[in-house]
Amino acid sequence: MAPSDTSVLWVRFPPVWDQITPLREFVESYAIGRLGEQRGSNAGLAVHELLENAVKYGDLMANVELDVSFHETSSSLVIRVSNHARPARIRVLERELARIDDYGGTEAFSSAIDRLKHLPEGFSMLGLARVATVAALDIETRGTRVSAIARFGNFPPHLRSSTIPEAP
Amino acid sequence: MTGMMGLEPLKDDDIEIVAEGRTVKFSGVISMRSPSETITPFLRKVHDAAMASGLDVLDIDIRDLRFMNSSSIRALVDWVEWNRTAPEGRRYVLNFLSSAQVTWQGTTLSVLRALDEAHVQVSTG
Repeated sequence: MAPSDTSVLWVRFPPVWDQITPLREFVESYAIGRLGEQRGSNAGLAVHELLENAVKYGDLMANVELDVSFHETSSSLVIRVSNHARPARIRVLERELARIDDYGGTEAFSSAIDRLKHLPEGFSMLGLARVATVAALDIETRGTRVSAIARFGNFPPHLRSSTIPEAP
Repeated sequence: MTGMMGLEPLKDDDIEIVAEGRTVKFSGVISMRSPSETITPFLRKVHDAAMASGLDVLDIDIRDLRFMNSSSIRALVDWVEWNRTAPEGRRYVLNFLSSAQVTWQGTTLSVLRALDEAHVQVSTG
């Protein structure tokens, strides 16, 4: 991080469902103060959906990490959720991100809703597409470690997070 | 028609759903891991009751629903689908009452409406 950047929160925890809501509430409260009501609320949504994916589909024996930072120079909030997952799961995430790129944020969410008709009960596969309606989104992988990154700032969502340059 | 009778409200840690008359009111936060075990069956009962009552319009008040995770959004999608595929004379309009202050509602409801524009309305206040 640059000297002017602020680490808001870094937490590592076992993949337990009950951790998600308090973390969403904390980040949302902070983000509303920094980015305003709408984007702050959307940041809470992103935290929830990315953590939900990590807890539900990640390696049950490995911790989940949430890293939230505020970048003063670009007035952007970056949410990074990292966990370990099986290669098949990582391929699913990469395909979903490619699909989001093809459709664009809101259209990708709309088509994901349409896709629900063909999924078994209990599955939604909406999380990443939903985040992409409100944030620039990206995925990084290194071996079995996967990080989903959502970035909020003065740029339109639906972009790859990694394509947004930091302000000078 | 007098609307739906005899449905016990659904109350969980953070959520309350009350079906009364011609209105279903959601309050709180829906963030459960397996909504298909609780939310979906409850909404199915609401749907069956709405059809049995012969309602033309059912108001679904989500103005006090502060958050809904994507797993739970599936329950709303299923509801729209149950109604869309019901026999012609038994369908009703799902009239969602939403809040402009709760940002996720606008995106979600506009997509839901696109699934069945004839039977999904959105009123934002």
